[in-house]
Amino acid sequence: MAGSEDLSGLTASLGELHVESSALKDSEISHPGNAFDDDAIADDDVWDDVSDSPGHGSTLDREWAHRQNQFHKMGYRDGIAEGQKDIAQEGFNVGFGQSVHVGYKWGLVRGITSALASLPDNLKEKMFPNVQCRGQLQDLNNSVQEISAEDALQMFHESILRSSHSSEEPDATLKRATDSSRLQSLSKDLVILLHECPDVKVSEELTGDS
Amino acid sequence: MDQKPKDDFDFLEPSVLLDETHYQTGFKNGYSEGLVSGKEEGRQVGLKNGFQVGEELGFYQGCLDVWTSLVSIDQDAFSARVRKNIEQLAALLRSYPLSNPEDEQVQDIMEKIRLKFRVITASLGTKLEYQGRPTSSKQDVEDL
Repeated sequence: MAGSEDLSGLTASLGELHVESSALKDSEISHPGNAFDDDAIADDDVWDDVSDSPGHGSTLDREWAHRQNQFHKMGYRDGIAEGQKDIAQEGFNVGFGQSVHVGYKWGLVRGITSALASLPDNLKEKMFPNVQCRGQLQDLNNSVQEISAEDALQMFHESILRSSHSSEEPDATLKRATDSSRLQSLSKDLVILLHECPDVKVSEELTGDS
Repeated sequence: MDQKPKDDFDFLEPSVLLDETHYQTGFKNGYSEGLVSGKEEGRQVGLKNGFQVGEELGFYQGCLDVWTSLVSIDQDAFSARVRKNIEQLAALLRSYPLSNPEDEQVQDIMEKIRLKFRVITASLGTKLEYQGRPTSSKQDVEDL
């Protein structure tokens, strides 16, 4: 029976080997299955690419929106140019009306002081018998001459900017802003000086606003 | 054998019409904004131009006021010819439409005013001149 036991042991060993071989085969079998799954995924990607339905639709949408946007932009640009051209004269007239009389008044100051200063001494004495008045006139002319035309325009522009930031009525703020400017103060100085010499008759434009 | 279509239907027409619709929508929006920006731009140009025109005319008027006052004080202050030119300058200044910048005659009248003014100052022997224009001399007014 000892020999019989030996044979049984051998049989058991063979049995184990067989089981291992089966396991290996199972593993090999499962691997092709995984490969198949990968291929299936690849096929899905390919199908997605090939069909191109969502991607293609998206591209078409973008192209169409781009085209619409281009036409809208062209119309917008042309519309701005046309609108600006149609309103330019009206805007100009508004601005011109707001500034022409202020400029005129300052021009009066400049003209009067310059003309008086340019007179020969004998004529100056006839218009301003008082020597002190003549001195004050010369001082005033010097102050006026220090302000160039560019300076005056800049001062006016700044006063307009200040008034445009105010919530008051435009006319009121324009008047007040102008009053606060150096141009206005020199205008008042001239009016005061001329009051001392009734023979000099100046435009009502100058005295009216003071 | 080709079959001719029954009518001249243009299969691109709907697309062209849609483009036109988008163009018109853009134009309408742009026009509205152009009115706003254009008016302000025009106003800025008008402000500058109005001040400059007003200043120049005021200068001539101011000089005229002085000369006219002088004549009323002393009839012999100026010669008869100078007095005549002074009167002509006064008429030109009165004719300038200060409140109507669109008047087509403004440039012509301004040129006449400038010319008459130069005639008077030349006769008086003074270098008095309006210094607002870029090309004018920067010389100070000299006391005679």
